[in-house]
Amino acid sequence: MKSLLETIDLRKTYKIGKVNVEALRGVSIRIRAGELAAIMGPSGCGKSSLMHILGAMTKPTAGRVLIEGRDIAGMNDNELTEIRQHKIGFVFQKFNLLPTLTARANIAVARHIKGSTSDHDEHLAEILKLLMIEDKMGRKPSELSGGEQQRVAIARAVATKPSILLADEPTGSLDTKNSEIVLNMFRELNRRFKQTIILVTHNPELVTYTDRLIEMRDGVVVSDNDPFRGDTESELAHPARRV
Amino acid sequence: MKRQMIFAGLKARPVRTTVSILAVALEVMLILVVVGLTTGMTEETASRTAGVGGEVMVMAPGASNFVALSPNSMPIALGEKLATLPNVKAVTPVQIQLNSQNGLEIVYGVDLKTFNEVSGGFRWIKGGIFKGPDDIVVDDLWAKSKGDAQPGTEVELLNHKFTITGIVDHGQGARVFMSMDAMQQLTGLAGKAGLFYVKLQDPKQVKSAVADLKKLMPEYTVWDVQDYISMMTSTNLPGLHQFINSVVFIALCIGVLVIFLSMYTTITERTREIGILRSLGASKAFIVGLILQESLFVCILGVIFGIAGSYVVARLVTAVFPTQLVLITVSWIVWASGFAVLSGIIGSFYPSLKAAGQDPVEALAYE
Repeated sequence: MKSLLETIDLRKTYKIGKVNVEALRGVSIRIRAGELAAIMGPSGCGKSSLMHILGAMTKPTAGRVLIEGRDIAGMNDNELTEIRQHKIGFVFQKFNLLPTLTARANIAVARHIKGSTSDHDEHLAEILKLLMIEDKMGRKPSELSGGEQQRVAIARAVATKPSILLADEPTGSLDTKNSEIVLNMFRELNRRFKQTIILVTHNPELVTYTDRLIEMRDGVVVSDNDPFRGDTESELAHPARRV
Repeated sequence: MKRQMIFAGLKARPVRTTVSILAVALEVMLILVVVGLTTGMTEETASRTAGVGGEVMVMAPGASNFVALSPNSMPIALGEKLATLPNVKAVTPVQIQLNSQNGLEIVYGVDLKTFNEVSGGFRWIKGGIFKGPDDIVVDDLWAKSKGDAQPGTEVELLNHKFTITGIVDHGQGARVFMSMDAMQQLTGLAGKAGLFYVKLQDPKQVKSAVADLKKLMPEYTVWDVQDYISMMTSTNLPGLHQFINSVVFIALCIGVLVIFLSMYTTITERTREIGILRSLGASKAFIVGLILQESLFVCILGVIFGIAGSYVVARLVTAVFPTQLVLITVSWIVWASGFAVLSGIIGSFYPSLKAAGQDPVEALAYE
């Protein structure tokens, strides 16, 4: 199975005053197209730093990051922006919807940034139906519950058909019932649309919704139940299946 | 989509948006009203000078461009000599005084016979001509400015009490007229004039007439009235041009600073939003464009309100001070609008670059 995303000896060091803090100390992982993986670890283990690098929001200090075969570690800001535009979808703990726009407009902004001229199509219609937010499109985030906001955020993230969906503590601000709904939706997105999803979390309960668990501690991967471990290919041979 | 984002952003902060629009409107109004006042004053004075009917003006050697400041030093007899020149139809002397009591206006002492020959006579609205040394004729705007004065009303000018005997249509030299004899008695300048208006047989020959007069009286100031009108504009008058430039510069600075402050505060408050947009893949150019367009929209609204407000102020000024004209011209509307938009672009440039340069991760973490 071909890799969609791969990191090779990834390192990230932050300079805080005179102190250097190593957030990532040599992380090597491989995510394949269509996988639903969780990166889990306690607070401060480096999972957010890893997510930011995988999402092309920041650059590593050392190591390589390959997204569909392209090394983003040495890219400039414009190139990273392009990666985020076309390859990455983000879901955040705090939803991060634009508060002055309706749900429909929030999704439209993401598609507009990508360059899509259409506000609606069949794919989006299916997503909205799956996420059960078709009747919420005219509301602003302040008029939605936490669970609804997160589902709008998910719709915004997948509406642009990204290669990879990154979710940082997606249920961190939700109650149990809404958490279950959202996690089931991630599973359904993965199952129905073969969306590659990486969930970053400190909550072990989330792991039951994923096919793979990557555990981190103190900036390194301490365990990884990669079902394809030993697969040495790191270039896509076939296009990733996407709706 | 960008337009939707801009409108939503502006609507979400109504007070800040309103204040920014008002500030730009004030910038535009400052320029248009101040320039309008100075332009109105100078051009209205010039048109009244032309309204006497003469094609040529003769003033004393070294006379000021401002008629009101011309010395009454020319012998009235000079006018009789000018009248004998070929192509001269009529000449009328005027003695000028500047009244600063209860207002500021030019008072003409006129020789009625020759004044009528040059001007064609007053255009009467009410009453009739002055008869005695304490009689004056005023124009309709001056009468309105004095609480709608009527023939028979007593007024005080040049430290003397006068009675209004008639009201005429404005636009013929001064706003207040008395007989030459009355003026000479008041000033003690018997046989003197500050200005001669010359009416030509053939107005088309004004250039050659002016040239001939200048050759004949090289030390005197001789004007083609049309050239005088062209000179009496706010951009041509020395000193006034610098004054206007200073006002425009100050207005521009105000606009830049207000927009800068508004946009800087806006992007600080919207740090997280900018982080969200960047995480969605918005480029730096997208962010810069968004901020600049938002500021441009505010400026355009400010310009519209500013132009409307300027006309309202102009009306108010004229209603309260009927003799004061505020002349708002199309060219200055274009200039003021351009300056307002420019100040918006300059003011929002740094904030937009700052917004675009924010680290997406830090921006998203901003509370």
